[in-house]
Amino acid sequence: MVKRFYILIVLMILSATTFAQDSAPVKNAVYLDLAGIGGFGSLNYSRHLYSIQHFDFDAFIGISSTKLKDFETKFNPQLILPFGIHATFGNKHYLELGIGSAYVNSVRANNNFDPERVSTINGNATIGYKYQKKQGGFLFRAYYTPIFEQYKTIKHWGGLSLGYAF
Amino acid sequence: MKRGIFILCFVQLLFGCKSELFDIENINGNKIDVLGHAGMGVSNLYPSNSAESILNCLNLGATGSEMDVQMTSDGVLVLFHDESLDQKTNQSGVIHSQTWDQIKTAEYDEVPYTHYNIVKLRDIIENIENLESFIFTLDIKLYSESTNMTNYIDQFTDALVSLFSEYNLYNYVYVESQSTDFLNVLQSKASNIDLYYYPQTFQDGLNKALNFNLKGISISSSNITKEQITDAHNAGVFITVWGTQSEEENIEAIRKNPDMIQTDRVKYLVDILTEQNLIH
Repeated sequence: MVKRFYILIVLMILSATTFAQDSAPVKNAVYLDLAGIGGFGSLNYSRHLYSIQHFDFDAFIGISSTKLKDFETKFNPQLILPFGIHATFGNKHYLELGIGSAYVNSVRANNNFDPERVSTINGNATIGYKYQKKQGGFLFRAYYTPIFEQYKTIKHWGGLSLGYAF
Repeated sequence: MKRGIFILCFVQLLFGCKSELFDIENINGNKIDVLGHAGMGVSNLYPSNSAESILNCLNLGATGSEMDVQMTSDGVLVLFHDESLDQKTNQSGVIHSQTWDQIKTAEYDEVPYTHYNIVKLRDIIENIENLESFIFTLDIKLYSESTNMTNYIDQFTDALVSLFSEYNLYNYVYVESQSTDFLNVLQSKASNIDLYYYPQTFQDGLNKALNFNLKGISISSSNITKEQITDAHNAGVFITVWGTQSEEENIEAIRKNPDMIQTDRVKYLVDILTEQNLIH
């Protein structure tokens, strides 16, 4: 199921590039996600890779944490690092598709109930709307994202982004 | 004149911000036991009844925690609130029709990227340091649709009595249930376990507590008044209130002089009662 979803996204991106011509927007963007691929929110940076006509391709990386202290109330934050690629189609108003992963390092109780850090890799895909002018400035995104937790189960999730492109 | 009004407003603001001073009168040494509602409560990122939620609650200074207890088909007591696993975990089905081996890998999945497991009551008892320095209330969830309910209650109470006996839990672990049948059977097997009835109305609760010689009543804070709590105390019946999710609801609950509050705002309640030395 997860594999099929990824193949679909890749095929859509590839087919989009077949009809494309050059048109480059600004290179960088920083944005804050409410919910979304970081769980409850994340701070993200995206870098424009290349453009072909109305198709733009960005790589992104983010950082998030839903808990800074562990259950023993000591500073021991959960760390979520989402990263991936977005393909957008449009001009100012975009349809956005993306695939990515999230490295998660979190704290849980081990068999003796002591804090133990556990790392997992989780997948995600996104489909949504993005507003951004080619010359940069205000950025807005609203998207649906199925999160493939440890590539075993799907969590249906969504997110909103507000940020600045430059 | 303007200056006078200004000073009055300032004084009002100053005293308005000051914490309310409580004068607790109950049958628990005029102090209140603060128990987390299934750990950190229903709105926390730690899932209710997970080990992490209960440990976090205890580490924040609570007197203890309430925990929801169910029994698997092979007689293992586990902490879980809902009848079905479907809504809160990555597995499905009801607990009482599955074995521990079938459900032990279930993970709470309401929040992305968190991986907390269902925990056995025995693991809580064995792994919490200084267990006897806390107080725990076991809220018994009897979801079984078994045609032989008598046999089910018999098995459930046997499992509880065995744990109480093995770990000598009598002085600091209480049992509460909505079923007087359950409480009666448990009482007949171990009269030294402190029992609480969980009624729909105060009067029903008080009557049953007195008739069945129970330690107390566990009731929603919104379903009991300060005067009713005084009546219960006069009859020697302890009162636990729950359903205190907001700061205001916790303050309202304190004003009623209960003996124990099962709260969804653990840190807030611990802080305000500790400040006035009103917590055990």
